[in-house]
Amino acid sequence: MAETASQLFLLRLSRRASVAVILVGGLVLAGWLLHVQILKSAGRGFIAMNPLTALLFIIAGFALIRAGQRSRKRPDLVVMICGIIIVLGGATKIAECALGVDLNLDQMLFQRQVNSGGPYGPNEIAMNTALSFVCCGAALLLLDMQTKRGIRPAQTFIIIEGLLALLALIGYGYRVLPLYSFGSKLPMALNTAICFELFAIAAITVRPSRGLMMVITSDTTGGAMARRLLPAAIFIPLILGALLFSSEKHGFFATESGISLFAFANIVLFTGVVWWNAKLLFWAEEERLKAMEKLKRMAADLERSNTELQQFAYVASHDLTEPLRMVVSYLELLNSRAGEKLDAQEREFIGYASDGARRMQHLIQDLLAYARVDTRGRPLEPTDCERVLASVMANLKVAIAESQTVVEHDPLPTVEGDVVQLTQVFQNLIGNAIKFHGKQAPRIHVGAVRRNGEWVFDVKDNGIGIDPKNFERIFVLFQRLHTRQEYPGTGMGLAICKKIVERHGGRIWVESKPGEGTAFYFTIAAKNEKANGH
Amino acid sequence: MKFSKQNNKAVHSGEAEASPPAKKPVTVLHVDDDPNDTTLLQVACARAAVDFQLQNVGDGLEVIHYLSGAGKYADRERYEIPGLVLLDLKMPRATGWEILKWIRGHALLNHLPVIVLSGSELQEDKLRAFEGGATSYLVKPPNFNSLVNMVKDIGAQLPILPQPKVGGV
Repeated sequence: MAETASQLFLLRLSRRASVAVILVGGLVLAGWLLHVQILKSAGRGFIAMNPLTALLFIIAGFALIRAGQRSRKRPDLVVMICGIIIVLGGATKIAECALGVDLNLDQMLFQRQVNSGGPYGPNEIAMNTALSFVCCGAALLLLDMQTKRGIRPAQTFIIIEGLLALLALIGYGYRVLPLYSFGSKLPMALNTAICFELFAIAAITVRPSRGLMMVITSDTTGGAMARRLLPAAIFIPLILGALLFSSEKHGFFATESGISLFAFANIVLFTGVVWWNAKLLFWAEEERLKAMEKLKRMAADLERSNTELQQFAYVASHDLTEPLRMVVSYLELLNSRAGEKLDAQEREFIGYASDGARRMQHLIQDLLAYARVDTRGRPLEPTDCERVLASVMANLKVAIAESQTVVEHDPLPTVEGDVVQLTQVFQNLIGNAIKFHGKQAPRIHVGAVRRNGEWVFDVKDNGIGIDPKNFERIFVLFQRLHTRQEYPGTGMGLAICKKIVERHGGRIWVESKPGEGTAFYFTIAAKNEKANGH
Repeated sequence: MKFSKQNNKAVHSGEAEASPPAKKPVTVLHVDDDPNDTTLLQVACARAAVDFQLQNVGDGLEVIHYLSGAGKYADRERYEIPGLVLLDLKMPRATGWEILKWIRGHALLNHLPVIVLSGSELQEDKLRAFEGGATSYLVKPPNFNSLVNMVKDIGAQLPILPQPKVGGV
């Protein structure tokens, strides 16, 4: 699946956020190691991140970087193991509290320092931190799981964890304590909350073509709308809330007026944003409808032109062949009645006239066959090429016997095609191989190889060969490389083959050297079909 | 196909009875408006030395008059009821399809063998002919020798074709 610019942007974002998480965790561990307080917490007076938390963050960041590099289909064992470690880290803390047991894992690292703590007592992992880690670990574990209805459980866990951290951040931002510590002695550290948010961003963007991100990054109007409205939905309330707080703190107005103004500002801004977005969508839809109208008109034109072509073919079939039939028949009659009264040259003249008329009959038949490739084409269905070849050999029985041709073939597959038209192609190519033979009896080989999702057929002969400068010309209508005395033919066989192969979605080409035989190749798309005997 | 065994029995018994006097040659009615086709067929019949008589009618309405015995066609000595109709499709004033339909709808003539002889080799025309009740469908041959062979084949087939039951014959 080709990645859009948005998807590449998100993958880069994921990688950067993961790196940031690792950095913060590493700095905190360095801080604990080197007794440097600044590295351990977000600032002076803020709680320090627990060393176990820092370690778990480093593992999480590493797991996300790895997940972003690997193929998205098969779950990566390493990522899953990281997920399990993180889940255990959080779960044991929760179990400790629930069961009243004191495992003190979080005090294992740097024990003495952690226990001495700071003004807040021993540095333990907070309850919401532990819960968030359980969610992070679960998200890593289930990162690539998708139910039949397209639900991705990992996204739910990322959102829960992201919201918990968001709550803590807003609490820190607006200085509301209950938001960032519940049920435990120590609240979630600020840098911990920031790291959880970074993890949430990294985890949700590491799979930009799936789930939530798929809509946001998609090229649809929905994606465009999401990309415009989401930032507004996040930042407008935050900014307005901050404005409300600072104006209350500075005493600009009382709580009631403040809240009313807050509600008022939200209404105005959101209505504006929604209206602006609606207008954009309206214009986009208008463009789309115009494009559809144009497409409908073009389809109608094509339909009409096709019908006209069919009528033309019908008329040609009746009315062009009739006068020719007259000419040929009367000339024959003339020849048989007056033949003895004419001298040799006059009989020759009649012969030439007859030949000309018969040639025209063949040309009209071939021209009709060319037109009918599309107008009379049957829908493509599974066609056994072995049977096609067998019927072609039967059709060319006389020519093969007369020229002592030997035809060998590889096992041929079953492909999606029109059996009549594929028969025409094989018959044309093999017929040509028989016709354009050199001094030796023709030896023809028919093969098929599967390559890049298509079958490449080949018809190789040991005949007179073709000059490379004619490789393109021979597929053009009415183009012949020889005079009619040298080899008979109307110059349409290969043009018809080309049209049929192209109708089947393939290409046809030739490789040859004068005097060294010729190989014709053509492709037919392979779509979940089976080769006989393979 | 459409013709039951009864008709064949009628023909065979007819033949058995009519042995002593020289049998009148069967008339084959050729329905075609193109004088070239008419000429060619006449010459081919002569060349093939067939023993049926060729009558030509070049107009759709005229055919109906001929078969109903209207106007000058009441003279059945001169204009016999044919034992076979060779029917072209493109005719003025009444198309081959309409004539075929008329024949098949006629109380007495509906078993008249009709071979559609057309310049078209299109599948839809063949299908339509058989659906309309044609006995057979032949494409006009592209050269004279093939035409002669076709006429010989028709001559050979004539005795075994079922004949219409017409009173007085």
